[in-house]
Amino acid sequence: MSKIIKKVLIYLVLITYLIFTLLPLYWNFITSFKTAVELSNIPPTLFPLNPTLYFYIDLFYMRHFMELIRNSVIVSLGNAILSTLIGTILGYGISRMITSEQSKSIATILVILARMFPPLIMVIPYYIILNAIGLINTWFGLITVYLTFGIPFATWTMKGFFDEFPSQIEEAAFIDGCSKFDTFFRITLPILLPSIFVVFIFTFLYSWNEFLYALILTTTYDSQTLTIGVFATVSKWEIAWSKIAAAGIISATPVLFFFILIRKYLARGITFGVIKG
Amino acid sequence: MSGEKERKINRRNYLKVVGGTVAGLVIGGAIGYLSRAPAVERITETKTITVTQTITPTTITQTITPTPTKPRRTLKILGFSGALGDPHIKVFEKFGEENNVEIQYIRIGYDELAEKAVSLLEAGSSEFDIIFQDDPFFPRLASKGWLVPLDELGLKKTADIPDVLWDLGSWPTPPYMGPVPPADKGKEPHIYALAHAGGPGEFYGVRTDLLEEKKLSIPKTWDEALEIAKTFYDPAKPFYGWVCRGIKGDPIAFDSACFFYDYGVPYFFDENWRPLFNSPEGVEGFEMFLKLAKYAPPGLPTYGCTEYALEFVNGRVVSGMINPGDVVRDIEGPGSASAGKLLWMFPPAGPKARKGVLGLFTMTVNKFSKNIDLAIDLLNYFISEEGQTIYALKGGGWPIRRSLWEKPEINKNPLFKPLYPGLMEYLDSKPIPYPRTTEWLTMVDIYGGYLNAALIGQYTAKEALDKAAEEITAYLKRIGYIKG
Amino acid sequence: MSKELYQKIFFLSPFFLLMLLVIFPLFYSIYISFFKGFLESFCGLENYFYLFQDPRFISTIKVTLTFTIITVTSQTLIGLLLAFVLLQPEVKNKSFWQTIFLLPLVIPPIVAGVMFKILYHPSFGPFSYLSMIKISPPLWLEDPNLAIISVSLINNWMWTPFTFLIFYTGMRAIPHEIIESANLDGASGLDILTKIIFPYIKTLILIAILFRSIDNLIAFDEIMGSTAGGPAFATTTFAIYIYKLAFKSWDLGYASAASVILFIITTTIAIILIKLTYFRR
Repeated sequence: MSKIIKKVLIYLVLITYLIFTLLPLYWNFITSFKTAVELSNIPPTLFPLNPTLYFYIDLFYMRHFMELIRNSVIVSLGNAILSTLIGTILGYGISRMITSEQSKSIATILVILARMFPPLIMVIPYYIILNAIGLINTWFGLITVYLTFGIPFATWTMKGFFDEFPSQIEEAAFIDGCSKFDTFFRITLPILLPSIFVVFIFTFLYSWNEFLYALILTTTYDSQTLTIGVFATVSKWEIAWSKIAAAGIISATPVLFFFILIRKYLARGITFGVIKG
Repeated sequence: MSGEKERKINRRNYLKVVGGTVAGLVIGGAIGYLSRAPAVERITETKTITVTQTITPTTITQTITPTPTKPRRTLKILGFSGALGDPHIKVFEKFGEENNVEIQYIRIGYDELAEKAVSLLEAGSSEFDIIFQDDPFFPRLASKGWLVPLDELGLKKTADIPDVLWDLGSWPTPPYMGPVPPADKGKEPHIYALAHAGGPGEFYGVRTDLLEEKKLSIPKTWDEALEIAKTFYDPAKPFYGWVCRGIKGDPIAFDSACFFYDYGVPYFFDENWRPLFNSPEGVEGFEMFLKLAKYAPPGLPTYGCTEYALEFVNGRVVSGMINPGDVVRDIEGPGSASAGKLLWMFPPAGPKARKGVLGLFTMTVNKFSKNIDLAIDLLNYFISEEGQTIYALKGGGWPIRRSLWEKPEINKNPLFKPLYPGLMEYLDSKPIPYPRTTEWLTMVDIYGGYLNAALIGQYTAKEALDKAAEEITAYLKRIGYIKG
Repeated sequence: MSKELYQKIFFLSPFFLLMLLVIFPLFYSIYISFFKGFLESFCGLENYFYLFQDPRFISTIKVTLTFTIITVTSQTLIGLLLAFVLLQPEVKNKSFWQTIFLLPLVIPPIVAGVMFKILYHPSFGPFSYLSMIKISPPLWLEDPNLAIISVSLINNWMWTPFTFLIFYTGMRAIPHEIIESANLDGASGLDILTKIIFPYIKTLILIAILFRSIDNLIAFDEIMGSTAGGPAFATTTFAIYIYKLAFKSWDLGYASAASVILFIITTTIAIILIKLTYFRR
């Protein structure tokens, strides 16, 4: 195949996909700045000719927007901290403490299966249980439920990292007289700190974007997360697009920010547990 | 020996770690658990900023705790989140100020409110004094005796407020509004809910300037409306004759409801909950709706309020079903092609009747509340002239008192001007609400789904309505509404 | 107790916490499904009985399967293609492309759903430019046959980065020397692809299919945001139906029965795929 043709084809594929990826994001972006009058243009303007910040201002001054952000932060942070903590411990345990090959696989599979208890199936019993205990519309309740996907993910990813971590280093330390705990906390953990950080960010992002649990289990402004809260306040009887677009941009921004932060680790974070299994 | 010392230190480390983790989790859990007290929205002071692009001012709220003077009573209100619950804030505030009452206005989503009311009242909770309910849902509460009969306890019924609002808030509703569940049939009607916002229904809107150009008069019947739609339909320009909501479920059901009534369907269900909408009259009515839809822009089956409002703002449609919600501000706002040119009309007549569909939010008073007198005072204030003026001018909601519409500050306000006198005419015509059953939410999902299927051409009108009737009946049988 | 055991217990105890948080509600879900409504009256297997006769239920299974097959297949294939293309030496600045391609992963699915809803609009979205050249814009969300594809497209937009990443990282791990020596030996591009690369990524493909299948069988957010069940009932998947039953009709018993069945289906598929993936080597 001629070199030129090959190059053309390659870039054709890449650019097509680039446009496909960026078009919705761009469209959302410009919609958030368009007034109703501009939105009514047919065909639509490709760039906001009369841009307005009204919808952003409206969202921020909307009495509850700050509270929604606060709720999202608390819940996502809570889940990320607890999940990473527990996941690291459990991951290490599965990686190092169960020596027989089979029980290792079984433990791994059980953790995978725990991930396959998706929100849709679990939300009904969770709703009834939380309602009965009185944990509906609370951060604590929502975090507890989020743990059900946070812990398996963190465990599995950390287990993958621990598997890769050469045990020779630990064994050397062990021979030198350190207990298992000491090696864990003084040697293994510090080296794997970046990986733990990655897991932390991932669980944070996952909780931030979570929709179904937050939709059902929280209904008041003091507990609703950002993704839900805004859509709930758009009434049936108004022109909703600009407001929703602005809300979408606002809720995606922190995620984007973290995304850029951990760009380098992204590959490892998403695929580590997957590939090494 | 150093080994022993190391082991001692290690054990201490171990205990430290475990203890620390456990303590951390316990403290974290305790904090979480304690912080689960429901939040409270204190209404105190507000500032307004005006943004030039729209008519309604936006508000910033600052929470300032009032200086305590004498023991204040508290009134707790459970309402809807979203823009529809906003106009009330100003009225509640003023009432609280004047009567030295602290008002807590807690707002939750539409779906949750219906269920939450039931669970609260079933448990006999006195937590909330006033509870909002959409009109299909308060009958269940009234039926079980959980609501205060407002007319008996001091709510000042006035003729300045159209009768239909009092009727809608009564339980049982008067016969012209449709059948009630058999258990409630013989009861003496009382007013249990104050119907006031979120509707009242679907208007017919038409561009009078365009009609004048072609020397056409305002349609009195749906046939005339169809002619108008056909005349102006010109997909090459493009210009369209009709627009409304086509989304499956409640949107299309609500927008098409009056067609059924106008062609002779008395109510959607008979007393035994057997469907009446798939009668030959119903089919004819729905077929008229579908005929009009042929002159609509492409994509009507996915059109919601946003889309039809944008069509009117763009100006490429001559008529359609419109609702006096927030879209008034956009359709009648600066820059809109239809501003000032639209007649908001009580929908035209069909061959058998001229009716509209009714749907409103209501406020009810909890029977277990400890502040019933205060709650009734608030409701009286709400419907008073002063209260309604604040509701309209400061809050932006349309007032329910007839006399207010004549006042210049309401009359000239671009938010309200287009709605009068169509709104009053609409209410005086005694429009019919949705079937008085809480199962309607499920049923409208099925019903509206089939209406939408007919709109996209999957079924004919008759097929769609028959299938909807069949599926709804099967559902009602399954949950025990219909025996056998 | 020995120190070993202490440590073991410490490190593995969260496992039981996890199982409690997950297994108990699942059994409770089965319990709920034996009642009518919100735990109102016991009715045994009646809910399941009605479920299998429910025409809506049958149609949601069809819709869900169609959706899942379309999305998983296209995501896997496109992910492979992208990964393969990006690995070519002709591409400079690979990390730039990688970053852009991974962007959709960070957008909340519900936001993506609404974004596409606006995008798909025949008059107010960019497709209305087609009418300027006399092509009527496709009715993405109105035509019931097209709607499934439109919704699948949204899902693809969001999740192809995921499959792409798996394949990209996996393919990159293939040692260069093998490919180079094969090139030197005169093997054609196609040969390299099938005989060398493919065996390496077979497992990856299965893993990608596994994850995407499980996730898409219960896909909810983006469908809810864009069509809420679609024109008529064309995009009402299992997930949407269960949601409507549970939280609009509050018929929790019936909805639980449906979700139990869904769980059985997803676990079966998961077990099959896991067996294929992890126990083959």
